Amino acid sequence: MDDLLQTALLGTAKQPAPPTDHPADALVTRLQGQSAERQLLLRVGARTVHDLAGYVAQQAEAITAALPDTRPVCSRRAAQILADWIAANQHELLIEAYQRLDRAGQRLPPALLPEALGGSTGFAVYELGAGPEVERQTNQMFHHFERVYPAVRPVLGERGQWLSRFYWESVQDSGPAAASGSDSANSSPDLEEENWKEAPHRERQWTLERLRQIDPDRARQWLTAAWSTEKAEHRAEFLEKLSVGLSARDEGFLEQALEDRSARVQMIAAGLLARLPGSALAQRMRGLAETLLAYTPPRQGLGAALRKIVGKEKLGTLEVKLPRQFEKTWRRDGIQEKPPAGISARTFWASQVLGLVPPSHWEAHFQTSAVELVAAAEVAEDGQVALEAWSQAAVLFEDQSWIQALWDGWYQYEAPKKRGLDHDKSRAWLAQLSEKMEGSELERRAIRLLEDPASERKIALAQIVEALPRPWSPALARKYLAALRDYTAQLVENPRSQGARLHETFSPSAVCLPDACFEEALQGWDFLLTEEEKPSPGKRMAAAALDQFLPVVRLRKEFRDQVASITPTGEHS
Amino acid sequence: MQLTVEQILTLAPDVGSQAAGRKLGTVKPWQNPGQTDTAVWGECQGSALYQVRVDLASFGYHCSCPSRKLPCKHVLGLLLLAAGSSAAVPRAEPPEWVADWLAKRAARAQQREEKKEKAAQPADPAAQAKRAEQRQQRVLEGLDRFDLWLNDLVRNGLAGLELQPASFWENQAKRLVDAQAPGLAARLRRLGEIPGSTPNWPRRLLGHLGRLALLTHAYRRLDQFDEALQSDLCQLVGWTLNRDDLAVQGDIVSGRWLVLGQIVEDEDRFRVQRSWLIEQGGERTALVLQFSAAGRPFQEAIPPGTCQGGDLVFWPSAYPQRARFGVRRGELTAIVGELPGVPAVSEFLQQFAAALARQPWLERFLCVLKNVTPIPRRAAPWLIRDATGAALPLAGREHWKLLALSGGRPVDLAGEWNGEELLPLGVAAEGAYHLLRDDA
Repeated sequence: MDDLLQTALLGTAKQPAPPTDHPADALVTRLQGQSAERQLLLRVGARTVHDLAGYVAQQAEAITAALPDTRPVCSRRAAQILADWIAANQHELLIEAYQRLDRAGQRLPPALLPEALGGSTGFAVYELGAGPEVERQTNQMFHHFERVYPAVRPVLGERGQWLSRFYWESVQDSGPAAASGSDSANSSPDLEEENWKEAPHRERQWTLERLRQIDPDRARQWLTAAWSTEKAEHRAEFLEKLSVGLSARDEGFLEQALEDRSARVQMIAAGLLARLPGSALAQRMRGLAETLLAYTPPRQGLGAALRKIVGKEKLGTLEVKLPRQFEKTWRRDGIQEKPPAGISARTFWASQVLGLVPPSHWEAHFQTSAVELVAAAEVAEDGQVALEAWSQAAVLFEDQSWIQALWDGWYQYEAPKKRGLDHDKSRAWLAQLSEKMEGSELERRAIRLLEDPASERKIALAQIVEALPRPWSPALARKYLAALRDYTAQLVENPRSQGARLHETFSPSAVCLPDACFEEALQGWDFLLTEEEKPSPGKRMAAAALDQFLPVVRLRKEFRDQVASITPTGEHS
Repeated sequence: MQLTVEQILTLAPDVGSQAAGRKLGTVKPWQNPGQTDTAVWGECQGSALYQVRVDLASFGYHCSCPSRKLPCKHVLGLLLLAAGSSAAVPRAEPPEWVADWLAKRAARAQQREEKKEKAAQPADPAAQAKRAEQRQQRVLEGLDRFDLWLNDLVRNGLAGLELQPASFWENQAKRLVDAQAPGLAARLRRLGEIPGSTPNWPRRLLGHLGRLALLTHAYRRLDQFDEALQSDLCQLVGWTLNRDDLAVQGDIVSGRWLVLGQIVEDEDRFRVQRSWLIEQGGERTALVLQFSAAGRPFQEAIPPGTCQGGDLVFWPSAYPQRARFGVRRGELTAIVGELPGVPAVSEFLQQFAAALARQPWLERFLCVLKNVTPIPRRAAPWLIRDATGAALPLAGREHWKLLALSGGRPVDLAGEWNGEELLPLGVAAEGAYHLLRDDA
């Protein structure tokens, strides 16, 4: 039909229709008295129907089929629950559920595999083009790959493994190859380097991080080569990735980065150099920091020994000596001169320096323990500067004994109106320290907190709940459930009694309860759930909060029961 | 009740209702739920206690809530509850409020049947004939103007048409509506979407314009065709048959019908729903069209993926395809087992060619292929391949669910063929039928 199409595109006014050469033309050309245009249209019409009826199928090569699966498929209801969680991006619940399926030796049904592999955004993300919505979806998708993919992999079965091979191929073809990161064995070094050079920023970060794990020197060379052409925001984000596989060989590059135009890049470089114990910067910072703190141990002797016995031991004295002026040489070490709003310049300078020194340094330097030093700082003038800087350093250097001592210190501030400290600050540090604390230690503290008679302190639970190891131990879960019941009962009585703000923990805790406590968690809420014409405001509030808790626990329990209902041979028991 | 969650969710008027329905698909808000073979009911605690009942034979439903969304979240919640667990909705005798409602429905259906029988004679045949003649005159005048417009298009050339505003097509479509040829108008509106949409748009557009020219050409020579094709031509131009005419002229086919898939599209101010049906164990296929305006639900619930006995009334045609349900019988069940279809692509293409020979303006055609395998391809449409290696291109970009369900092994696929590509509707794999579209 190409000849007719050409005439139609140009117009019969410019180019007359070509002579007939198609079997269908005969139908039309015998018609008399038609205009040239009409002739052409009717010829096209007849040819179109002719060609449609004569459609010739193409030939295609077969593909290799997936191997037969040996694991039984999970129950239909279980698959449905998973589909809902995938759609709602419930990554925590999904990870737990996939692990549970894996332990039971089951797999996902084929129909669920695309969503299970691709997350809520499915495989469609790369079809959408660019824009903020795609950015958001891409982030969701990457989060899914990073967190959920390792858990889902074992329950994909043969079918799922087979499907994912096609999927990764298609992703590498039309989208960022970095997505293959979850299957790093499949990706070639050339592809990686190409990806580092050309992929969108988020994937470049990921590629760099992965190479740091395998070949840190090569990754640094990549970054050095690209450094001058990257914008400041990206330089900072790439530099942060050097924390993976950090070694003394990075010092030269990091020293250069200290001279970067961007303050953020300088600070990140300083933080990394500080973590290299032998680096010049680490030594300079230790020297500088020692001029800022002085410690006098408590006097020894008979009196001190007696006080120790009765538990009224005297503390040593910590002195915080804030610097009087900003030395120009500090700037070279990534120390910023201009403080953010609300902080005095001297405090700001001191905290930056102290934050770059490993806290264990002070134990050696002052010959005393972290606990003693924290206690001394609590009562010292400007002691809070030291506490904050140490907290920052404890997080940076992941020093467990300091993390614990400081956590306990900040927790003391949760008592009502303690020294007028603003609670937002202490809570922020509790959250940060919790993230880095060993799980068992944190759990011990959570139990202590729930037993604490000062109910206001229970507020701190909301700060640490995300960091607690999952699932919780039955001991912790039972304490929590008891506190929960007290809290809701109080709320019903008096809607203003929200002091402990436990409702903020309902939704995360529903994900953390161990199997052993499902039944217990679901029982005993009748006093809240019976329908009333006009429930009291307190009851309404408590019931609404509970609505974030009970449905999740109920679904987790149902999922567990569903998994248990399938026997290893795939029968419903 | 045998409906799956997937099928129930296709009944929801929008995504919000799906979510709200899911929330109510749990035991907690329900009191006294129950079911029989033909009905399911329950009382749902919302802002008040709502009585919800569903007639499973025809999927009629009623809820005492004031929601304007139909079906409301309570109806969806009740069906989801029943689908999720049969224990949650035990078998029981219907309470009075359900039994009364069912009895009233049965009585109304009876009345309709009787009315249909009475309405055999038109009010005034002479006046009706005169009106028809006047309309025919207007249609023919409209066709003349339309043909001139078509000629102008070809004289001036199609190049540059992608720069024309939507009103270029819309104005012409409105003129056809004024000339009482709404069928042609709808076809023309669809053409307005082609320019610029794909690299080969000029070829596609020209093909459609040519078929339109054939149509106006044929309509002017109506009496040269047999009665069945005359009927097609009238319908294509826009003459409609009302229910009573259809009852007289239509061909009634009884059987069990599998609803293989459903496509909902916006067209002008309407939503159009196309449901593709095939007779169980037979070859007869049917297209059930429903229209809805202003966000209202479609009149009849036809859940895709289900199977139900009943009579289909086919519109008179040289190739009868469009139909509507007359009577529906028995319970709706999920489609199970293999699909009735053809084992080879070549056989399907022969079916299609034979149908075109009878009705050359067919736009869409149900394709049911047995033992075919999806073939994923990079940067090209995926294919569906039969045992001989013959393959048809699939519409849309990727078909992961289809591929997952097949696992590289033969499955039975139902799709909608438009002469260029196959739009997958559903797949039967390992004994179960899965829908492949989520817009329905």
